[in-house]
Amino acid sequence: MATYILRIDDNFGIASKTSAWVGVNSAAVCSAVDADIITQANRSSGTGFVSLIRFCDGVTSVIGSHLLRFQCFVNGAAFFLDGAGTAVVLPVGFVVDSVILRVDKSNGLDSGSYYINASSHLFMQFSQSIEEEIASGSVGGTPQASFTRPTTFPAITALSLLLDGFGLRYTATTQDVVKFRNVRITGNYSILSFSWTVDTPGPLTIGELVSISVTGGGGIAGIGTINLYITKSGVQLKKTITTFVTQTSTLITFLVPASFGLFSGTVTITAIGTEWTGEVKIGTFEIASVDGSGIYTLVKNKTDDTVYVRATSDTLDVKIPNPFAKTGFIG
Amino acid sequence: MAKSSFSGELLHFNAVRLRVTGSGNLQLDLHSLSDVNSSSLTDVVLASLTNREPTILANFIEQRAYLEIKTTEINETFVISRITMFIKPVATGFPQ
Repeated sequence: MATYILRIDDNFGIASKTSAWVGVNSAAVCSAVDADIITQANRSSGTGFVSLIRFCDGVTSVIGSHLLRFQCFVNGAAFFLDGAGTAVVLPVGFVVDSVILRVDKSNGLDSGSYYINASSHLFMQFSQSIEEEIASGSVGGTPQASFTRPTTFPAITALSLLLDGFGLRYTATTQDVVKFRNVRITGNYSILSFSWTVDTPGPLTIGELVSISVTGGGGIAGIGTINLYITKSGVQLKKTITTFVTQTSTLITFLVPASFGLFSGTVTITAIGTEWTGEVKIGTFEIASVDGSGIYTLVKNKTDDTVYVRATSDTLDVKIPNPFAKTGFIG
Repeated sequence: MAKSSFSGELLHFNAVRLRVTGSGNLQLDLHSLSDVNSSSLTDVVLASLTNREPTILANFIEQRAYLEIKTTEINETFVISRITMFIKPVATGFPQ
């Protein structure tokens, strides 16, 4: 089984603190900065923990609501896969199969009560609307608390984990401290494999329909963005398409955009998913129209247009754009 | 524009008959005033020589409509020498 851990580090850090009372277990760092909190929240052994209510000698704790949330900021390199010691940017096709938020309620070097006041409540959160209370009690016996993301919500994605992150909320009705460390999300993942075919290899012109269909594995319904890449005068240009003419479980279609300007050649199609990570190459199609020049000449019985390609001085036959006839209004 | 024998009745456009030759697939669409409504008819497979005038069924009710005829693939051609529209009034007008 492929496993991952999403834990707090330089890439997956503090998103927000609604309380200034976050601290670690030393009066010296009572005004802890984010780096101190990350260090302690990520600690799985040794001395130290985070408190959502002040844990400093001679300072009065604040009664009220305290919130500490974490999320990814940098480049998505926050998942530790299969026990590896280095966080990686997720491989293409990565999907989250299970999500469990885990918290160690205290460390072994602190025998103090973790959560002793029945009228105070500590919650684990995914998004701020999805949370579960951690049962109160002594640290003895089972110091770890976990929260499996409810399955009644829409399937969680790696992207939502990175963007929404997770957090801990403490509603303190007394000055009792709450202490925890080794905060992380664990779970299983899979790598999806899709097979798609570009049904319209071209040559196409601006405004024509590009059609991509499933030949294995599905996945088209999960496409959120399609990127088109061309190389023009040695420079790679990208056009992003997020509005599709058709998108079903087996088919996606979109129009050749006009924004590439004068171009003839190969367009590479990639897809970015909403249910999986990474940018997947789908295939290619040809654009051929557009750096044509010359004088338009009517030739009897000719059924296509011939354009003269500036770059090569060749000619190229392309479609006459949808010849049509219309009657007058009848009735 | 030909003089209309109708004056605001709701008309059922129920078929189109064409004398047409060519190659490829001929696409037919009926459109209402201002293109508010439209209806795609079955494509006609074109042949360069044919002894038939195909009748394509339609089911489109409007006061007035026009027929759009087109091809969309390279090297498709069509030559039309007659269009017959089959129309029947089905109501005197919209409710006031």
